Amino acid sequence: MVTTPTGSATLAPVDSSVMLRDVGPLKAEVKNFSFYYDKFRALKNINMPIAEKKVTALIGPSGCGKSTLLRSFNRMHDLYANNRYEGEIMLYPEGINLVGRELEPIEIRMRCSMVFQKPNPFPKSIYENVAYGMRVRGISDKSLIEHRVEHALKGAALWDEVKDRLHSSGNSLSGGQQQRLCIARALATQPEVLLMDEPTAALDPMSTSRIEDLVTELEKTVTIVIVTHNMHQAARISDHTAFMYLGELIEFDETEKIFTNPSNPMTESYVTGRFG
Amino acid sequence: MSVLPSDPIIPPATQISFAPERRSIGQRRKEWFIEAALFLAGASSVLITLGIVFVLLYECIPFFQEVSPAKFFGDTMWAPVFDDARFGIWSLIAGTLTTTVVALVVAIPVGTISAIWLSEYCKPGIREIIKPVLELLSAVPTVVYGYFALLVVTPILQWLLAKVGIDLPGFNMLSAGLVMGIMIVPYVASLSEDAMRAVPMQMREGSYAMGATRFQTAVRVLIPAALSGLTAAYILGISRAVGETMIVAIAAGLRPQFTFNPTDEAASISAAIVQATLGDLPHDSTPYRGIFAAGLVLMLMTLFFNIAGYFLRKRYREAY
Repeated sequence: MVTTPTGSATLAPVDSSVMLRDVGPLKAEVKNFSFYYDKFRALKNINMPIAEKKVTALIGPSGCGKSTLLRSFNRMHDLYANNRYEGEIMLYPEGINLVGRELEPIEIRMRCSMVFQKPNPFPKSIYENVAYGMRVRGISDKSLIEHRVEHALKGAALWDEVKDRLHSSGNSLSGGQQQRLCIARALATQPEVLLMDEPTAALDPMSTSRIEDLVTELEKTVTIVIVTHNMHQAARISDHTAFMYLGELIEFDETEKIFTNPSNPMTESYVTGRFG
Repeated sequence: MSVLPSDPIIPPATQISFAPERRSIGQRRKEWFIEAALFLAGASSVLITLGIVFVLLYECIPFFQEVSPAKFFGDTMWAPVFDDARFGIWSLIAGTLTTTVVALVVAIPVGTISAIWLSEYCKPGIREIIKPVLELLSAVPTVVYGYFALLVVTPILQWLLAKVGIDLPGFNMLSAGLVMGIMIVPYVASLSEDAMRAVPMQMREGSYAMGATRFQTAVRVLIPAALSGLTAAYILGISRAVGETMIVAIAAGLRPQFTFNPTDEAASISAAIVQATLGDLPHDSTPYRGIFAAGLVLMLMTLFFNIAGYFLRKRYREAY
């Protein structure tokens, strides 16, 4: 077992064999996964399950690799040179390796949608923003697109606010509305996994609570992996929580256990706010 | 802003003493000189522009007393030195617009595609080499482009068009316009690339995360996002083309004709001005003043495009 650079024995990750393994039906599974930014090993031998139609939260201090792990699920790292994956991230039911070289990243991104930290609507109308994923897939059936746009906007709890101005610019919305627009955009292609990278970090408390309610609602239909800096948020909305530190997975368990009775003293000091 | 409490360590600006009486005369004089030099530098471009407008108007007023505006704007023949002098500006405007349109048909697609390639496809190391080379292309003197059009491009076009049965004269607007387009490509490409690269990375990531390809991302997200910068690039290209003189003067011939057919020989406004100054026009003659009237029209055209560009930029400005 690798010790953390602090050298303290108490800060070593718990043996992955004692971590929670059985989380019910699996949607994905990270297996012996490492990630390199050129020579820097940002993720070190991560092993964790992602339960189907549950919310899995990734928490940990800045630079711990939680966003790096999330971005591996839809191969965002492929956009930059000299990045390297090692190990496997399996997607079920077929059991394909998401980070396999032979797999086209575009195909993966269609199945694993992503919502970013800062709302990034495209410079298009609200309608076209949501239709984007279908347009790039070459779908031209107007009634199908219309139906899916409406469905996605309803799913993202935005429909009532925008139904009368679907053709005005996505940038005309408020920050919280823009983020829900981005969620609708991600939902419109009916993904199996929704990856959320600190989706409320740039939002006010009201908008944040709306997004949190939305996550709880979406959980019924889609598997969600969410990175968050806000531990209360992780506690409120997730079923499972992974605590990461310096590129290693320190502890993975049911959220309730992580926040009430963590196995690792380091997890405990992080969730109680003593470091990080 | 005013609601922010002032920092106790830094006193409010009003308390900092700039009291001039406590400084020596030498210091004050130096300060005055610096201020005057800065003002003159800033004012010079404004003054020169005003001076140009003044000269143009000064020569135009007597011109329009001799040649009525109705004849200037209502005629399609420009023949200022004929016995029966004609001052129909439309033949020159037609030449200017035709060469400009031909140039833009080359420069906008080639420039935009180059910009997409430079900003989205090529590796950063290669871009660092290509972009300076591209910008070097804009340092080639236009007279060189002019002879390139006349001696290289025109013969090739003649040979090509002969195959489809078109007889291309040795002087023609097609060749001049095409080469002018090549000349403008670096401007358009370089400015468009700046505009596209200024689009935040999160916009690209958002598009890729939706499963878009590079090309889809460039065309469907980056071009709309960079539209204000792209418009500025195109407008600059138009202004360059409208005012371009040497290429048209050399390669398109200097025979003003009212025609929009690019395979014809014709003259643009600026080429006609060059032609007038080549001969020995007496300074106090109507044809001499005519070139100022033509110059004024040229300036108004460029002004029009710049103003249009300003409003287009405002219309498409994206806030991130």
